[in-house]
Amino acid sequence: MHINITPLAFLLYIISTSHASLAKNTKVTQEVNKHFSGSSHTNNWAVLVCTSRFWFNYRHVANALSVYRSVKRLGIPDSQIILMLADDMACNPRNPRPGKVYNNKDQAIDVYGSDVEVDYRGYEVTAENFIRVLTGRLPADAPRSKRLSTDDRSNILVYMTGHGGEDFLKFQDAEEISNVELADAFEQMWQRRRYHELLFIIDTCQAVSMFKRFYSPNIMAIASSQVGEDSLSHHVDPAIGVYIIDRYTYHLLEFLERVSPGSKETMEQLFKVCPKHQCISTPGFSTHLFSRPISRTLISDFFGSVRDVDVTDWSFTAKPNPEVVDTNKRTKASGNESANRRYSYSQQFVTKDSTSDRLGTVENTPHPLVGIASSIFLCLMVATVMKTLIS
Amino acid sequence: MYEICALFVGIGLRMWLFRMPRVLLWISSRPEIETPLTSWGRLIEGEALMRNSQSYQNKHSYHGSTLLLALISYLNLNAPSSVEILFIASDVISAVALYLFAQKFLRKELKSQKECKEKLFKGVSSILIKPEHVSKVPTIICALYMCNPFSLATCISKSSVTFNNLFLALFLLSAVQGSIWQMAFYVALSTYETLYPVQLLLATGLCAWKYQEKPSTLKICYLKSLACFTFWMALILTLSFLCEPTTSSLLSHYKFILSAPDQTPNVGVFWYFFTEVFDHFHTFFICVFQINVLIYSIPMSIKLKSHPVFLVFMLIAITGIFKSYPSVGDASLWLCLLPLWSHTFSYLRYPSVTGAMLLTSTILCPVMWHMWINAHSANANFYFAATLAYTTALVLITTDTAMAYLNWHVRIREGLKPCVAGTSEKAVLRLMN
Repeated sequence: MHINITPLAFLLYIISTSHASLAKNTKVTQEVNKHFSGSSHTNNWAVLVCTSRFWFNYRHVANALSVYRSVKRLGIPDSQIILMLADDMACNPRNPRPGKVYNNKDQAIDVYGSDVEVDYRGYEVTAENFIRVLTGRLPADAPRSKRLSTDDRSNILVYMTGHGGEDFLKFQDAEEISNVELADAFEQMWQRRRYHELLFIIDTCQAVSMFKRFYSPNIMAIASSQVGEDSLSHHVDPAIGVYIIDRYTYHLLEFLERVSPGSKETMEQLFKVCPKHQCISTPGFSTHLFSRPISRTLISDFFGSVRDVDVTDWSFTAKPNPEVVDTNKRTKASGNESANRRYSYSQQFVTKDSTSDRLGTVENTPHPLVGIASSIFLCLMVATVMKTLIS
Repeated sequence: MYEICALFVGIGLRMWLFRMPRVLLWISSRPEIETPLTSWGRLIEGEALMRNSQSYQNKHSYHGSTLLLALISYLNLNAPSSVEILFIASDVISAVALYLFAQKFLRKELKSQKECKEKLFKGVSSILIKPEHVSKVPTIICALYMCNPFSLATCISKSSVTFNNLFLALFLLSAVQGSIWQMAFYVALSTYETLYPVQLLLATGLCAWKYQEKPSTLKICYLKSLACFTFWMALILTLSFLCEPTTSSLLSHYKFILSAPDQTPNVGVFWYFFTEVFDHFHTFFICVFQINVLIYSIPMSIKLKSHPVFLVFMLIAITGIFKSYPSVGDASLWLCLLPLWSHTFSYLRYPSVTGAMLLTSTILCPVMWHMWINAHSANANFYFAATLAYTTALVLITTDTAMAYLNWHVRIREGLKPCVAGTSEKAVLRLMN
């Protein structure tokens, strides 16, 4: 019987190597698992939109600002938060506490504060601007603070609050955005790979209708009420006479207060926030477009800005590069003229004579005939004036 | 002697005000004083544009004439302090020219009054021109021009209306001297800057005909003045073309004056109307407004054929009120000449009303501007109302002066009191032809 040596040797090799790596097996499993359920995003962004204005919609502004504070506390920097508010609460003449916006009648936290950065305020909060921010179709001179500069490894949290209806959301009493437009905006974002994963939270009446039409991958959505239900507000602040926060956001904040930047709460727990007996409306969820299981998706994937830190146990010393030119000493030894040349203001602009450094080049000096003619004319003028005055 | 004092006071005031940067800044931003056509800031911007890109044709930049830009940019580059001296000198020469003009004019009027003594009614000697007029009025005019706030503001803001006033003052002086070449020269210069003094050609012929030493017919005077004007204009335009060799820049400032595209508020009547007019009526109304400036010259030249200096006064006044971009500097020239007709002041119908109106509207204009632009508690209507009151005051002064002048000429023939009612005498209006 002829025994084939090769598969036997191969099998032996496998067994021997796997025996050696048994100790590392669990770590490998973890790594492999992480690739399938851990998020591979590298940066976090948040778009927080409050679509109402006027004093009696105080609670919507408080909603948005509270989520803003939570998201900031959990680590997303202001440069990666787009906050769109009408911003007419803090300095409203009806606000008895000027410059402050509270989300609870015990006035525990001033969610406005002195470090709030509202990117779109007042009448800039329009449906058009919201879609432009999402899709990135802003004019070339839009400042960086108004741009959503995300890439294909960005996780975005989109939180919207305001007055909504079936299949639409009202923007500042003047216009509305429909769920189809929103779904198309997200599809545009996906086609240009402007997000890695997106969590969409909406706290309005009949909120589920807004995410019904989503069709782009990697979107998870949470809504505070079903179609036909109204999202209700939580409590009135008798000092100011308006409702100060909405129920869903109130309970969302209670949940988020237990979350810290490194904690491992998952989306499954987030979905349990504000059940019907607390919220009166039934929250709705959409996970069919999301690729990872929600029991393994962390809250901090969307609400915080967690960085994977690799702690090494080795070090190295940085040596100064001898080729670097010391620009403080403009000696002839450097010999690098372009590093030493000072730029003047006019040279930065491309003009017709930008090739020439100085003013009054050959093109600029007028014809000598002009000089002669002008001086003759001036003399003539002076002579005539003298003649007129004297005679 | 007093006029020398007035000159020095004026020079001192100007030099003192030039040293105060806050005053300069405030005055240069007043819309009553600086217009898109004449402002100094725009001239400097045009100069900078010309240096960097060789073309200053920009909607928000300089719209004046090329030669002025060339002269000022040359001076600014080589001797920046001489620009202030240029403006002060221009004002001084204007004042001196007005003084000499008033003196010569009143002397000639006195002389012709004496020659026509027999044609005058008995008993009118109280309203005739007297020798004290000849000695006092020129001093008053010189002092008025040097020290009145309108011309001070115009000089301080370095607006090119100063030069326009200089040319018009020298024109007046050469008019009473009767020399056509000089008159045509100054008309050409001021027509080159702002288009409207071309109406003064009508007066040039008349002045030459009246004041020339050797008498000639009116037709020859007109032809000669037209020929001289054409020669000087051709010379100036050639020089301008040499400075900036593009045909578009040659007439661009005329296009700006005629089409008045810039609706920045000023003391004129154009801006408010043209912010509201529909586009398809725009050309029509531009034509209407421009005709309004120029049309009065022909009937007035016919009526005031033998009073050419008064004709020039009226033309300068009407141009200064109705032109497309007026400023208070345009008004300061002819307001200073009002004392020339002081012998007719007893026939002014409402001098205190118009004087008060002018004073009130002058004070009200900056107030309304502040309320509109800075305090946001008024709107353009408030400011336009104030400038309309100012314009109306000037118009009323002009018409009242004209009426008083003509009335005076009737009264010295017919006597101080009009005809007795119930008689068969008819009143015939006849001027001192």
